[in-house]
Amino acid sequence: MSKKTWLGTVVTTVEGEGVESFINACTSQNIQFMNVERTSMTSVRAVILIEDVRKLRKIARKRGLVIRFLERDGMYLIKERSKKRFGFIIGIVAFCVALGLLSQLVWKVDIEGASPLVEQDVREWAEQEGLRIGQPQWRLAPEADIQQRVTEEVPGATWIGVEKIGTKYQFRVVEQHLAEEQEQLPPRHLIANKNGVIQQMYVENGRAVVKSNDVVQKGELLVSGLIGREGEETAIAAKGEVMAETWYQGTVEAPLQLSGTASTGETKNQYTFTWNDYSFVFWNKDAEVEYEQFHRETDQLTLPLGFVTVPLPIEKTTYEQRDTMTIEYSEEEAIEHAVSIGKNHLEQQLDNDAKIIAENILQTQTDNGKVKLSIHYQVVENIVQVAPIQQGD
Amino acid sequence: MSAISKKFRKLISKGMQIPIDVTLGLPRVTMIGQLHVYVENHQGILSFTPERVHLRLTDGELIVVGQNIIIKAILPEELILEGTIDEIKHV
Repeated sequence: MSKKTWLGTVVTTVEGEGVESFINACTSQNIQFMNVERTSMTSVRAVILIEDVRKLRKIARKRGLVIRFLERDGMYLIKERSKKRFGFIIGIVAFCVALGLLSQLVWKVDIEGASPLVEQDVREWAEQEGLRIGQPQWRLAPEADIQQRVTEEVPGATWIGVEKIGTKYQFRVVEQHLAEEQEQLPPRHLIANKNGVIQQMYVENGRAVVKSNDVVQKGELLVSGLIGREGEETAIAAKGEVMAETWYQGTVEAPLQLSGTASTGETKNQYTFTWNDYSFVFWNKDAEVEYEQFHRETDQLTLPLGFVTVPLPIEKTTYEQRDTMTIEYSEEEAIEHAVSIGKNHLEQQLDNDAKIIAENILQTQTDNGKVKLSIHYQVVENIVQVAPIQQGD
Repeated sequence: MSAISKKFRKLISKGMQIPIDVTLGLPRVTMIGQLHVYVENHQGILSFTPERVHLRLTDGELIVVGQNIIIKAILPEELILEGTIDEIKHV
């Protein structure tokens, strides 16, 4: 019935003769009255909408009634109050404007992946372009343009990526790497670090001493770092890869029977109220005796409230039912298991580029509920080891 | 409202099964306990004191007697009285 009262209402007193007919006249002009009380024989007090005040005044003047306006309420009041607290409103507006403006400035120029020298160059270039802290972003060229130009204009970098992350400009530099490291290596030979049969050789620098299918012993020279005519050799750093077949032997054990505990999947939650030293179980009090075997975990419950998490004085204890399980393996399964264990074990010891090409079970022995295997592995791996050449030898 | 018009409206009301208060502009008075009186189709206030409210209707008058009566709200066609209502009289 009452519409728009939230926009603003005002308490009004009307005094004079014929108050009732005044109300009727007002109602017929769509002025809404609320809480009309008679205060004396000739006066009433009522609440009306602020938007009706002007109409009401007009009618009252015609009829020679005296109206007075008292307390106001609603949105209108906020408007009125905001006039009084003008500075406050200005502050809010100024804050919003400042935030908006400041977020349009450059606040950070980050250079990533560059050596100090190139970083300095990029920084200087950015400075020159006006890409500095405090610079408004709208004055700058789009990132794609900056990226193209910086890549072209800064020497020493193959590619420079420019990305705008909020108020930060991120430069990702990919530098040119000149191949000069190899020259700095001291002269050296390559020798074998294991016995083996050479499978494949790749010599980058140096003179190969052995060839494919040669059997080498540990410590044998593979690639010599001395090149040139006999008698006037120069020492260089030999470099290369020698893949050779090597052999490993190991024993692995695997049990025929495996027992352990595992959860059955059934759980029960117990809730405890705790406050300082006082604690009281108020939910699932008998969870402890329900299961024969169980695993227990206690958590403090918290209440996440945006930025902070408030701990609640409630502890949740989860009881997980457990059961002892026994798995029996047949001998074949146990052997299979042992073989895979052995393989894993060996792979962990070997380099990444090593490959197990064959495995042979030499001996199988079953006793005490265990299978014991002795396995021989054939592996192809890089057997190169560096041996420096003593200058002046 | 003239007698012919009244008859015609009654006829329409009967034939079209429209409530008679709509066609004839008759008042509809709803009372909620002793607390509220809700009047639709009123024609204005004649007099108003905390003990007695006198309303004009299309034909006749409505007198509400009680204590501490105030007009909770008033619109061109409806009105709510609040207070302790003792008596409602249609004259």
